[in-house]
Parts: sequence; C-alpha cells; structure tokens
Amino acid sequence: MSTVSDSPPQQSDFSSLKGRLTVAAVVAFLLGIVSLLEAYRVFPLEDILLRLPFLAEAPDLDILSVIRGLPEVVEDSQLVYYAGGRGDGLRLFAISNAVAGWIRTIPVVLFAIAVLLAVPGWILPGISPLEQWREKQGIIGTLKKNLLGSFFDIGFTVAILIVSYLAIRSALFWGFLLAQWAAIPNNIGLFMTGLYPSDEYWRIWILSGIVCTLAGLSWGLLARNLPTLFSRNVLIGFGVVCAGFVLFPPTRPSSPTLLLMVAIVAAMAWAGRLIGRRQPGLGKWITLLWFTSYLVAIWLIGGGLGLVNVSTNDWGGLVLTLLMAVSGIALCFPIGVALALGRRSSLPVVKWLSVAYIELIRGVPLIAILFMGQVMIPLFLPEGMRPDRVLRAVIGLTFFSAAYLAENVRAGLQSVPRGQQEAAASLGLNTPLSLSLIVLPQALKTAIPAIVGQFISLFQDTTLLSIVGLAELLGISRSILANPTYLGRYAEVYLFIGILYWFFCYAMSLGSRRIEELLNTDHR
Amino acid sequence: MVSNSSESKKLNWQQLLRDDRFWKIAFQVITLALVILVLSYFLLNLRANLAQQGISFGFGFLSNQAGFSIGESVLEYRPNDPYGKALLVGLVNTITLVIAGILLATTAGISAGVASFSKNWLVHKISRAYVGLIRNIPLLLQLFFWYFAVYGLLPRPQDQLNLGNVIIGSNRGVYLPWPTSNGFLAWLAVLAGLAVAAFFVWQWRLKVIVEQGDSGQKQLFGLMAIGLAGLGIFLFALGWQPPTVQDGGGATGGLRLSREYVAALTALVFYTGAFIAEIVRAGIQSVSRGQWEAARSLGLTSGLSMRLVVFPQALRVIIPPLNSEFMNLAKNSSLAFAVAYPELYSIANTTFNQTGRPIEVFLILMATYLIINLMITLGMNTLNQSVQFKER
Repeated sequence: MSTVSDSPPQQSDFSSLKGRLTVAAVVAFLLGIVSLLEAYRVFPLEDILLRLPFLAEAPDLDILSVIRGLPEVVEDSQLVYYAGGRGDGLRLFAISNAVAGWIRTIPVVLFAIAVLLAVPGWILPGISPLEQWREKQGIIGTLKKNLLGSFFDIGFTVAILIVSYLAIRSALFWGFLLAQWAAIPNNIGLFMTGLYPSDEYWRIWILSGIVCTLAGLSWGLLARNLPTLFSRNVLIGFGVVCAGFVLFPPTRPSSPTLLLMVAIVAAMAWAGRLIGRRQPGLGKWITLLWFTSYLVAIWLIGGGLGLVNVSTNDWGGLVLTLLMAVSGIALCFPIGVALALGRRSSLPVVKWLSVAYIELIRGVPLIAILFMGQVMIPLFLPEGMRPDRVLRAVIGLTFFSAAYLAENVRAGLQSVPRGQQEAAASLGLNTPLSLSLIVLPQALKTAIPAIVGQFISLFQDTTLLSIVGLAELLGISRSILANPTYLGRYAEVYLFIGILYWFFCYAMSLGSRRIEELLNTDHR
Repeated sequence: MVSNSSESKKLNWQQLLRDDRFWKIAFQVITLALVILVLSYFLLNLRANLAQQGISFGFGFLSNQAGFSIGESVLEYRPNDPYGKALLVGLVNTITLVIAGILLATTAGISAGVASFSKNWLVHKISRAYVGLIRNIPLLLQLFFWYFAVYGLLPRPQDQLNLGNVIIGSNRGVYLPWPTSNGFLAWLAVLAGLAVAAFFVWQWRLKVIVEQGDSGQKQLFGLMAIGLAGLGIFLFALGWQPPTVQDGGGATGGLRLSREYVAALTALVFYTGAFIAEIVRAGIQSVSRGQWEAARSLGLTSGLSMRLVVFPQALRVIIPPLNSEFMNLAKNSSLAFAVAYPELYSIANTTFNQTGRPIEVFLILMATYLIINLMITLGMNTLNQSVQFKER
C-alpha cells in the first residue's frame, strides 16, 4: 500500500508536454543502452532458429553459418530440402537477417533522439527539458520521488521494469520473426468491405469522401471560436496519420486516395471555420446534412436508383461494422430519450410501460436478443414478411441499446434542477415545449459522457453480430482465419482488428471530451 | 336557450382542449391503446405462425429427453436427461463462471483502480494503459484472442506443460490441485470459524489500542496463532490432491478447468476489471482532499490513510455502479457460448435448435438472467447498506 500517494488524487507530474518530452528522453536513453547491450549479446537469433522444427531435424546444419552467410546458404539445396521445399523457411532467414541488422540500428537512433531532446534549443527553441527538470528538483530527486520512494517502490519499479522489458523483448521477437503478417495486406479488401464487389469499391470511396467532408465541416464549425484550428497536437496527429497511410503496408496501395481524404478533412475544417465565423446560423444545417448523408450512404452501399444492387449478404467488414454502429446509434437515441422521459413522467401508464421495457431488456444478454431476434422477429410479423437479416440485427441492437441509453439520459434529467421546469412553466411553456427547450438540452449536455460511453459499447457490441452470421469486421476475420492459407494466424489478425476497434472507440471518447469542452459554458 | 347551451358546449370543448389534465389522460389512453394494438397485432401474427408450424405454446417440452451431450458440467448429466436438467446444468456452469469472474474482476479492478493513484510513475502509467486499452476493445474479440491466440498456443496434451506436478496445462485445459478430503466441508467450516474468531480478536485489538492505549501485542500473538492454525488446516487437512499425469497426455485427479472456461474467465476478468478500475478511481477521486490531509496529519502512513480513511468513504460511491458492472459481467458470461463453453445461453440455444420453440426458450432465458441479476442486486444492496453513512 505504500505506493499510494500522500496527497489526494492529482495529475501526474508528467502531464505537461515538457514533462512528457523529458520522460521520453530518459526512456529513450535507457532503451538505447539496453538495446545496445541486447543487440550484440543476448538476442538469441540462433536459439530461436534452432527451435524451428525443420532445422531441428537437420543435425549437420551449422546454424551460425546459416545466419552469417545467408546468400551462400540460400543456394544450398539441402536447406531448401529441410525447409520442406516451401519458401517459408528461406523467407524467414532473410527476415531474421534483416531484423538483426535493424536491431543494431535501434540504439543509435534512440541515442540520437535522447541527445536531441536533451540539448537545449535543438528540437524546441529555448527549452531543455532536462535542464528545467534539474533546476526544479534535481534529476535524482525526481527519480527518487517518482520511482524509488520507498523499499516497496523500489521493488515494484524493478519488477515492473524487468517484466515489461521481457514482455517488450518477446513481443518484438514475435512481431518481427515469428508472426506472419501476410494475412493482413493480402485480405485488406475483405477486412474493409467484406465480400463487396471490387468493381463497386468507388462507391465506398465516394462515401468516405462525403463523410470526411462532413466531419471536417462539423469540426470547423464546432471549433470556430478556438484561436487556432490546427494546433500543434492536431498537426502531429495529421502527420502521424499521413505517415501511417504511406508506410503501413496494407494501406500503401491506396495511400493517394487516403491522403486525399485527409486533405479533404483539413480543407473542410478550414472552410467550416470560415463559414461558421461569417454565418453562425449555418451550423444547424450540418445536422440535416448528416442525416441526408446517412440515406445517401445506404443508397451508395446498397445500390438501386441507377446503381447496381449489392445484396446485404455481400456487405461486410469495417464498412458494415460502422454502418451497423451508426444505424444503431441514430435509431436508439430518440427511442432512448423517449423512454427516459417516459420513466420520469408523472403519467402512471407511460411511466410503468417505460420501466417495464427498460428493466426487461436490461435483464437479458445482448446475444440472446440478437439471436432470438433473428428467429423471433419473423414470427411476430405476418406470414411471408421476413426483414433482411442486416435489418433484423439493427432492430435487435437498437432495442437493446435504447434501454441502456434511457438510463443514461435519465441520470442527466435527474441532474436538471426542478426549478428549471417550474420556471419554464411559469413562463407559460407547456410540457412538450419546456422539455424540449429547457430541460432536455441541459440534461443531454450533462449526460454526454455517459451517452458516448453507451455509443462506444454499442460499437463494441456490433462484434456480437458475427455470431449471428453477419460478416462485419470480426465475422470476416473469422472467415479469413478459416481459410487454410492463414490457419493459426489468430494473434496477427485479432491484433490488427483489435487496433482498429481501439482506434474508433478511443476516437469516440476523445471526441466526447472535446465536445464537452466546447459545450462547457458553465465555468467561464 | 338552445344557442346558449351550444355555446357553452363549444366553450367546454375549447376549455377541454386547453386543459392540461385532459391531455394527460388522453395521452395515456392513446399510448396504452397503441401499445395494446401493436402487441395484439404481433401476438396474433405469432399465433398464426405457430399454428402454421404446428407448435402450441407450452413448457411441456422441458421434460422431453434432451439427447445432446454437454462437454463439462458440475452436475451429473447424461444425454438422456430431460431438457430441464440440461438447462440446469447450463445455469450451474454460468454461475461458476460468474462467481469466479466477480471475485477475480473485483480484485483486479480494485488493484488497478488504487494503482492509478500510485506515486510510482510506472505503476500509475501501467494502470492507466490497462484501462485505456482493455475498455476500448470489444469483449468478444478479447475472448477469441485469449482462446485462440493465447491458450491455443499451449502444447498438445502429449507434451503438456507440467509445473512440478502441481499445475498441468495443455491446450485442452488446465489441471489444478483440489481438496478431496472426506471432511472437506467440516474443515471449511472450521476455517470459517477461525476467520470469524480472527475478526473479533482484531476488533478487540483495535479497541484496546484506541481506548486503553495498549500496544495490543497479546492480541497480535492471538491473531498470529489463529493465522498459523488456519494455514495449517488449509495446507494439510483439506487433502489437496494434485493432478497426476496420464501416459499419452492428459491428467486425472485435481480440478480440471477446460480451455473454454479459462479463456472465458480470463477475458471476463480483464474486461470487467478495467471498468471496475475506472469506477474505483472515480470513487476515490470523489473523496475530498481534506480527508487525505486530515489522515496524513494524524500521522497515518499513506497506505493506512487509503485503507482506513479514504477507501471506506469511496465505497459509498463505488458500490452502486459496481452493482451494474457485476450485472454486466453476468450477462456477458453468455459470450462464452462463442468459444463453446456450455453455459446457460449455449444450452438454451441448442434446446431451441432441437425443439424449435424460440418463445419459450427466450422466456426461460429472460427469467433466469433476471433472477441472477436480482440476486446480485440483493447482495450488493446489503453491502451498500453496511457502508452508508451511519449518522447519529
């Protein structure tokens, strides 16, 4: 327990940019030393290669000579024989050699970074994080306070350092030597759009263009009062995204289009800010545009009205995941708000109907609702009427989330003081007007974090649709893993889609925090 | 006269339309009528559809022979047992998963939540990274990851891992030592008795220290003796039986946890633990700064002020959301179905597939999960009452 701080909850000492840079410098320096030692001594390339099954069966093969003399060995027909005649073994040798070289450059790079950060004025004008740090507390003092406070702290720190060092080492090892990432670039189309016909990909691109346009415009409009639109953090973010698109192998083939998307977002944000400043009234129309774009999205994806029809069986991948999540969010929001109002209502019939619905739905696991929804919805409809299974899934998801959302909105409603409604009533507003003009805006503002949390969990819940047989992101991954070529590549595929899910969820929570800040009019 | 009456009638109508009370009643009547209309439309359709399929509503099928086998069960089960028994087996499997999950997730969550206040920068950052990473990745994906990518890497039963004959693991499951003594329950009761005794001695010690300024050393020795006795009973009297290796892979004896169970438990614990950590963090943050400062100025060490002053107060804020987190865990345990762990939902699904009775099976599922959740709420409410402010 000695690790608990003396003072009440507080921000870490490293919350400022300077602090973070300092930490980065120290970490880079330490890592540099460690990897310097590692690269020349411990990294057991030979050891791992020996463990490969086909090499273990090759008693007369000198592994060291294999590694050091790759070109000659590749010619060696014996090795090809031991590698089972496939290219895998040879490819592995090539990679391991490349990695061995690459690893040796790590310390140099890290050391360079550490030096750059430590010398004043090299990266940031006038700032030397290390100097400032020393002035404040002295390096040893800060280190001691933060990492080596007491006997237990020393133990913790050392244990954590050792464990994370081992973990990072084996993760690097696995990632660069053992993992076969081919499953991802080879199937990137499947991951993104499922079995969507490739001739019609342009429709998805247009859709992303529309979404980017609207996202940029909304961002610009929301941030119209901020002094700088493209702050340093935003620029860094743009840079990272662009670099990722160019360098990341799966996205490299379509990087020009992706970069165009980024450019659209940036340009539209700028335009949106300009418009927002000149004509503040235009902000309302953006909501309408979003609604229209949803219908356009369905039309673009599904076809009809002059476009080739694409059956819902061919919808899939990330596009389907996002579509389901957006549909669920758009549909469950009004239902949830209505249920929350119903639950708070003074009218007994409305109140008890809402309570019954909310509590019954919240009592059942989502998977039961989705699965049974697939079976039961047709049973409740006239004979022969069988909604599409994507539609059935959306219905299940919506009804489920609405009950949870209602509870979040209810909490928001409870936070609005009674006097607000009384004041509205005394101004002569009737119930619907006072609810929609006075109470709900305040309640929803308070409830934003909880509502976004619910949206995030709805987004995560779309994975359950893979059990119901939809080929959304997780579903299509499972079909890819069922392909004998990618047998057993679970870790690679699941890590990849895990990062995708994480990205979207994190972006949502980040967005919610930003919106909260922008809407926060209380504490001026 | 006539015109006058018609005029007042008109006026009445206008008054009625402006009257809030009229609209309140009218709105309710309309809502009720709509709901009844929609429901009866659905139910009529349902009746027609069921009649067409030749199924009549009823729970008689529960006593029919199930005919499917269940991979693992705490209860004795054979394929010729009735559906009702199969569902019960599923329920017990769910409950074992949920109870173990709640205990472990609470431990993990509280540790991570407290760790986020650590002065140690590394501990603090690791706690934050755990929460930020796990909460933003879908549970089902994590479940698949643990099941396929982590536990799937364990060796085949033929070359299973053997940690000193205590833990034996392969990709079929994990074997752990398990008490098998005949008087197992009796010894467990003794242990519980010792725990109660220890609690009272502890209280006594605190009282002596606080009220008489005694060092409480006598009581401390008493506590140590109780602890030693408990440890002795725990280690030697329970009859721990380690698993024994079988030729050609596998093991007998001890407790077998299947790979499905272990994966489901790990995923649930990690996922729920991250949410609990956030709840604990918010709870501790809600305790005012003055409480910390007062505790510290009384000379309590930081660990003691957390344990004795801050955490008990934070519990008031923590327990209500913790309740809903436990309920989520109970409901999320149904995802274990995706890795073929035979819990309640999975059995219900098989039952529905074999009997073609979605409505009945769904009602059973709904009722059972409702009861599980009510039990959790009941337990948490009792706990909640014990930590609320006791004002004079």
